[in-house]
Formats: sequence, structure tokens, C-alpha cells
Amino acid sequence: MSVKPIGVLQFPGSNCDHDVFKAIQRVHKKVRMLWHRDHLQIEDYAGFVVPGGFSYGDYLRSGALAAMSPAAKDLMEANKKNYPILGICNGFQVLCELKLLPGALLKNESLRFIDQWVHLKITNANKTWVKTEKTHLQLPIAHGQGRYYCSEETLKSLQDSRQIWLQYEENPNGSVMNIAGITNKDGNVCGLMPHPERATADWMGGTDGLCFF
Amino acid sequence: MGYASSDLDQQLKKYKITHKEYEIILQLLGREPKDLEWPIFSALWSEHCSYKSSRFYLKKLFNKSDRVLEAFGENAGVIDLGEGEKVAFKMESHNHPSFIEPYQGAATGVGGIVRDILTMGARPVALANFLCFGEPSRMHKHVDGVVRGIGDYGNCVGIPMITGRTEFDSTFNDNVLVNALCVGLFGKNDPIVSSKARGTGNYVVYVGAKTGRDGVHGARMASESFNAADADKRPNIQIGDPFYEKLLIESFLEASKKQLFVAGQDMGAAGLISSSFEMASKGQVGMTLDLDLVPLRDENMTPEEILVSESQERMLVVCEPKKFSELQNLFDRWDLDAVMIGEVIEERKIKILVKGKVVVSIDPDILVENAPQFERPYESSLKTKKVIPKIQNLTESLSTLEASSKEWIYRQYDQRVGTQTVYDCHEEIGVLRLPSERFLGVALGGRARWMAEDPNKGGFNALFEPALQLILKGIEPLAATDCLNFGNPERPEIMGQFVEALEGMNSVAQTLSIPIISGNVSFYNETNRQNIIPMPTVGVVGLGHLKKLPSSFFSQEGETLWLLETKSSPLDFLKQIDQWIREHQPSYTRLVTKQGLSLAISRSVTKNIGAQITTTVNPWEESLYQVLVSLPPTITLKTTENIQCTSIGKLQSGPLTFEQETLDYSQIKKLRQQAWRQHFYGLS
Amino acid sequence: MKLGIKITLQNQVLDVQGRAVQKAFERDGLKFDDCRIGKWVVIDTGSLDKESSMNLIKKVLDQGLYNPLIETYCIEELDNK
Repeated sequence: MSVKPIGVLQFPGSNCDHDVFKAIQRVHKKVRMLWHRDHLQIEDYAGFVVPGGFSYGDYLRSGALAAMSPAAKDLMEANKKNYPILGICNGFQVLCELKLLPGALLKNESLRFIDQWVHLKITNANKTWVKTEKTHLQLPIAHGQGRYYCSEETLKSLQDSRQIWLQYEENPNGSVMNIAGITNKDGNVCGLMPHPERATADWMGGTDGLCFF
Repeated sequence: MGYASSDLDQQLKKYKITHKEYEIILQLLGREPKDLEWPIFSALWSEHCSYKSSRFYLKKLFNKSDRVLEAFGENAGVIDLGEGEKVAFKMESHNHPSFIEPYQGAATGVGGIVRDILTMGARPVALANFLCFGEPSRMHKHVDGVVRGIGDYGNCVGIPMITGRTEFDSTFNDNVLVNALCVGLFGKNDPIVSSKARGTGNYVVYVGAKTGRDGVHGARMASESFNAADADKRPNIQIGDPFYEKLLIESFLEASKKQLFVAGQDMGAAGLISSSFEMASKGQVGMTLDLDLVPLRDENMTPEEILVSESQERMLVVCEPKKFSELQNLFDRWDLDAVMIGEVIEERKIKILVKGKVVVSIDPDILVENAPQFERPYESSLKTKKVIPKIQNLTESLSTLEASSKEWIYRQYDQRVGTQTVYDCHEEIGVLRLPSERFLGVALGGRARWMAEDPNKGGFNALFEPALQLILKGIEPLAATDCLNFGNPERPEIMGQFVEALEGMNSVAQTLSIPIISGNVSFYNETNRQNIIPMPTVGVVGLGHLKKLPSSFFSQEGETLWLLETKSSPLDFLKQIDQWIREHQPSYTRLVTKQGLSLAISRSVTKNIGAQITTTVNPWEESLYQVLVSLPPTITLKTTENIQCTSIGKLQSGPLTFEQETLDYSQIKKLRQQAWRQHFYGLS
Repeated sequence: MKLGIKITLQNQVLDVQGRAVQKAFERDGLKFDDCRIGKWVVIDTGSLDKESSMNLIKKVLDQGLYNPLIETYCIEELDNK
């Protein structure tokens, strides 16, 4: 029985596409790079990852121009079929622009890019994308627009439906309710600002990213 | 038709050509220069492009070794690391633009050095920077702009910043220094891209962004001093686009891998002129260039503006006609233009066409090979002893600008993109993990204090210190690059500093066999006749030989802390240290630098491990050279003829106990962060 | 009074955002000749009269609201809504 690969979407400006590719391989999974202008052959894949970086330079709005591409739009179809979809950093921004996840990511409160390791709490575990019994993780963040924002109404809905996935122990960017990652109602679509692919070896500074993918 | 004397003077002034140079041009051409020949000479014979004041002395630098594949003459130096791996690296300055427009100046500085590496066919995999600012109170706008400019560009283009240095000194009040270093990794066994145009009939292809008026005459700006009336510098702001650069990186490397072009060069200083003339001259061929075919942002640009424009993110490649279509399609996939603007010809002339007519026909060698070279006169340099304030206790020491935490700066840089970073800006050096799983180290050198005191000693230190930093981390230094930032070379005392600093650097290069294989010279860092102190900065690259790297932070409770000091020859000191590192493989090593022992020890303290120190050595002053090492208590180091060994304490869990003071990690951290905020209040 | 300040890049300066937006929409089938992206800043000067407000705004602009090296601006009076 052949295992279907995970597809990693690639946009002009994606920087973490190869990092994610290598990380998925490290976890012994089959993986393929998917060019943004090509339509997704959804059935050929086990799931999709939208990686981090600066797609289209973050121009206009982070993730906005990438969300217009054929591959990104096809993710809406993939979601309807309940396929697992993960958005990391810029990927999270793309999924919000596609409205596959609620809310938006705004400029950090300090108005500066932040690169640091953070402590995270797994508020509501998501078994689709993370296999671990741990309740806390240490992952690096590196972003200028990581402040999660949503209306009060949406926030209440997220809480009620247990969609708040990861929260910062110490809020680095002003995200509402220290939110670092969320899921959709069905739990197949997840988005997070920290970079699990950057924590997959001791020499990288941590290995909590290995339980992802 | 001759020039009336006053007209000639005006023309020479406009194009910044001296009378002497004009005489040389008359001789080379056999006539007066006409039309576009003026801006061509002006650009290519500017200091920035021709290195006319420095070439004579740079030739004396030690620049060969078994590993060196490319040295001066190419866009970047390349060294062979074995196992099919090789790296290209170079450091470059963007000082004058960063003073005028800090954000764009620094950003385009990063863009430029990245393209120098890319043009060799290497993937840029690491950045480092060396920043020199004046007194903090005057520099908020510059510190903010430069750091954001470097950060925004580097982060967006996806290259990690793995190490950096900052110096603050009043000498830089009106002349900031922004030196950017880039390291590129070649694909396993991939060839180095040539910059030699060749093949009669091959297409000359313009790739990348459209040409606009940005940076027109930028190379000239970098070749002259500032004075009070600088309002006319305003239109020269080059705008960088890191997104576009990222597209260029991916597409160029892909095209190179598929061997779709035979030669390539980025359009840097002096834009289209420098790339075309240099490629033709190196390849011993000629070229036609049709300016009507150059993609323009503004249709009203004059031929001169097109030639000298420094619009960013553009490359020039030479490709065989049969491969052109595939080349175009590849670049189009990345949303970039690839336009044929000329052809390689056998005749050794660059022929520039405007509206179908040849308006310039000139031998590229005249501009490139025969650029003037001055052996500028020099006299013994100025030396100034810096007054170092006396520090009496740890709290005082940790509250100074020198000791301040630079975290505010490097937290704005992505240090981990690419997932190859092992040591980032928190550490003393940057380290990457290569695909072969070996460690590649990068260290920076250059100290204002020692430069001012004695350029020879300062030059020595600029290369010696980073070499020692690498050795302390179990990394063998292999080669170096430099940025020679100096004042006005027309002043003999400045030229004296230049010559002496190079001599100092060269003595280290030769003795330790660290060839200096690439670099950049930035002269004219002078404002209103005030020159900066000499400030050569150096980047050294090396290959790790230990499986586990020593760290600059305490980790092993109970280990003995040793202080090792130079007795006579620093070079012999370094060699002995290298031997001991290989033998004992310590978990902790640190070079003592600014403010001496006390600061070095304080910075080594971690959340869990501090130290108990008892020493008779003066802990408040830096002395060249001192090293800290921790070793298991069973090992004793004996003083030799080169090294004075003193055991000065023990690592313990908990705080640092030093003379009468006890400080723990969070207190030390707080003091150092406050020290920064105190000088840069108002910067968020 | 409320004043709206449109801050845009000077004409000869490359607009990297505008360029990226134009190309992205062109790929999607929506073509247009040029796209320039700027900033819209609304400042409420409270009860100051027109002349004083303009003076204040000019000072704010000169002190760093815009970058004269690469940007230009124009000021609009806004209805007091």
C-alpha cells in the first residue's frame, strides 16, 4: 500500500518551503513541492502544508496575493473534502486570507520583527497535525506580522468550539488571548505562527517540531 | 573641436574626472572623449569601481592557498571545503547611502552583497553585518533605519543573519559604516559561474527589474566626501526590493543548474556599464548593446541615464541563441523579464546603439584594464590614544554602552531561516551546519579603539581576533574578506593609515595562512574635512574540526575556569591555544574583549550556571590577548613560554560571585538591557 | 479640524508594492497599467482653526511623518463628521 505524499505549496517569496520539505522527510513522510500556479490534484495527496516566508514580499497584506493563486484557491476545495491543511507563519496568514481560518494577523505590537524562542501551551490538542502527549512546546518564532486579531464574537466562538490550539506563555506580539495557533471547527485546518520545522534537531536548539507533520 | 578651458573644467567637474585622468584618456583614445564616453569613464574610473587609490597596495595582500578557487578579480572569493562542497563569500560597504537614507541605504547594501554571491552561482545561505555609528544621542534615526533596513531586506529574501558587530564612536557621527557580509553555498560539485563573456553571436541578455532613474550616479556618490551642501544628493536613493531579489535568486540558480547561460554578472555599482564592460574585458571579446531594447520604467530616460542607472535587482547574462527561449521561459515562470539587448562580437569593442546608430565604440580594456592606478603618497599615520574611563565594579561595567545588550538589534533579524543555523547572534561567532554535517564558522573583526591607537596594531587585530574566535570554537580559519573603510586617500596621513593597517592584516594572513580573497574599499568617509579613524573590518570563514562546539556560555558545574594570556607573540599564543582546544575539547571558551575580564565573565553566566571568581589579574581593563576556558578539575594547564595560565575560579550553579559583588543571570541581563535602553530610549 | 494627508512615493521612485500587486492581478487576468500604493493619514487637530492646523500638520510632516527623500504629500480638509 503506497502512502500518499504531503504537498507543500510554493509561492514566489516562500522561504521556508525547503525547510518544511526537509522536516517532513525527517519524519519519514513522502512529500512533494507544489507550484502556486498549478491546480492541486487533491486526491493524490494526504494533506497540504502552506509554509512560511514572505510570499509576494508581504506586499498589500501578508498572504493576500498568494491567496489569489490557483493552488491556494484549490485549498478551499480540499477543505470541503476534509483534507488536512496546515499553515505555518506566512501560511497561517494565507489561510486567514482564504477564510479557511477566522481572524487576521496584524503587525506586531512593537512594530518590529521578532526572532526568538517561545514557550507554548497546547490549549486544545489537535491530532491531525501533532502527535504528542506533551502539554507544552518550545518553538522559534520569526515574524513581523504575528499579532492574531479577531472580533469579540469570533473569539467567543473559538473558545466555545475549542479552536484555540496554541497559546504563548508570554505574549511576544500582542495577539488577542495570547493566541499562537488556531484550528477550524472540524479540526482539519490548522494555522500557527511559530516554526516547527526549525525545531527538528538538537543542534537547532530544540526538537519539539518533530511531533508535527 | 576642443573644449574651451572653462567648459572643460565644468565637464571634468561634472563627471568627477581629474585633469591628470583626462590626460590619460586623451592618450588612450587619441582624441577627446565624446558624448556617452564621459559618463562611462566617470563611472568606471570612479574610486568605487576602479579601486584606483588602493589597487596598488591591495595587490600585496596574501591571497592564495590550496583551498582558494577564486580570489580578487571575481565578484566574490571562493574556497574549496572538500567533499564536493565550496563556499563563496564577500563583505561590502554601503556607507554613504546609509548615512543619507539609512533604511534604503542599508537595505540595498544587503541586496548588493547578496547579488555578488549569487552571481558566482552560489546560493546565499548566511548574512553578517558590521555597523559603526556615532554617539547614540545623535544616531537614533540611523540606528533605527539601518537595523530595520537590513532586517526587512534579509528577512524577506530569506537569508539568516548569523553574526554581527556594532561599534559606537564619535568618529562616526557624520559618517556611519554599514558593512554587509554574505556567504553562499554551491550545490554539491556545481560549477562556479563565470563572468567572462564569450562566444561570438551569443546573446547578451538583461534579466530582472526594469531600469529607472534610481541611483543615477550612485558610484560617484560613494567616491566622494560629504560637505555642507548635500541637498543635491537626494535623487540618488536606490530602492531595494527583497521580494524581487528572492525571485532573482531562485530563477538565476535554476538557470545556472540547467546550464542555460555561459556567463553572468550582476548589475551593481555603475549598473549596465560596469557589468557589460567587465564581462567583455574579462572574456577578451566585444559586445553590442542596444539601449532601445533595455526595459525601462520611465520611457523618457536619456541614454546616459540608462547606462548609469543603479536600479536594483538586475543581472546580465550571456547565453547561446539556441538556449534563449528556454531561458526566457524560466525567468517568466518567476515573473521576471529576460530581454536580449545585445550580442557578443569578436571585435574587441563595446558598441552602444541608440535609435539604431552606434554612438559609442570603445575598447573595454581601456576602461577596465587601463583604469588609472595611483600609488598615492603616504606618510606615517596619525595615532590617538583613546581615553578609557576607569571602571571599578561590575554594576558600573554592565551599565555602559559597550557592555549593553545588542539584543534589540539582532532580535529583528531572522537568524534561523534555512534551518542550518547552529550558532546565531547570541554567540560570539556564527555557525552553519553544512549538508555534509560539518560546521562552517563565520567571525567578524575590527576594533575602533586599536585602530585609532595604531593602524598597524589595529589591522593586525582586525584579522587576528576573528581567527582566534574561530579557533576557540574548534573551527579552523580558512580565508578572509575585508571592508577597508577609510577617510580621504588624497591626504597622505590617511593613506598612511591604509598602508599600515594592510601591513598589520597581511602579517597575520601570511603567518596563519589565511588568504584575504575578496573585499571592498570604501574611501572618502570624510565630512567637512573630518575623517573617520581607520576602520578596516574583516570577516573570516572556517571549517569545524570538533564534533561538539565549545560554547561561550558556562555549562558544566564544578569545572575550573582558566585565564590564558599572551606572553610575547600573539601568533604563537594562538597556535598553542589551537593545540589545546583540539586536545582538551573544552565545553566553554571565550575571548576577553571590551572592558576586560569582568565583562567577559558576566556575559558567560547562564540561568543555571554562574561562577566564583578569585583573581589578581586586573579585571577592568582589556589587554591583548586573553582567553577564558573551563575544564574538568582533573586537568591542569601549565604556563609555557607563549601562554600565562592562571586558574581564576570555579563554575557553580547559581550566581556570579566576583570580588565584592554577587550578581545572578537575570540581574546581569537586566543591567545590560537597561544600558541599551538608556541610550536608545524612544526606539520601541 | 480633521485633515487627511495622502503620502505617496515620488513619481520617479520605484514602488515595489505597486509592482508586485500589478503583476499578481495580471496573472489572475485583471490587467491595469500601473499601481502605486501610498499611505492615508488622518489627523484631528481638535479645536484649532484652519491656519493653525495647517501649520501644525506641516511641522508634523517635516519632523518625520513623511520622508522628503522619496515621498511627497498633499493635504485634504475633511468634513467634521
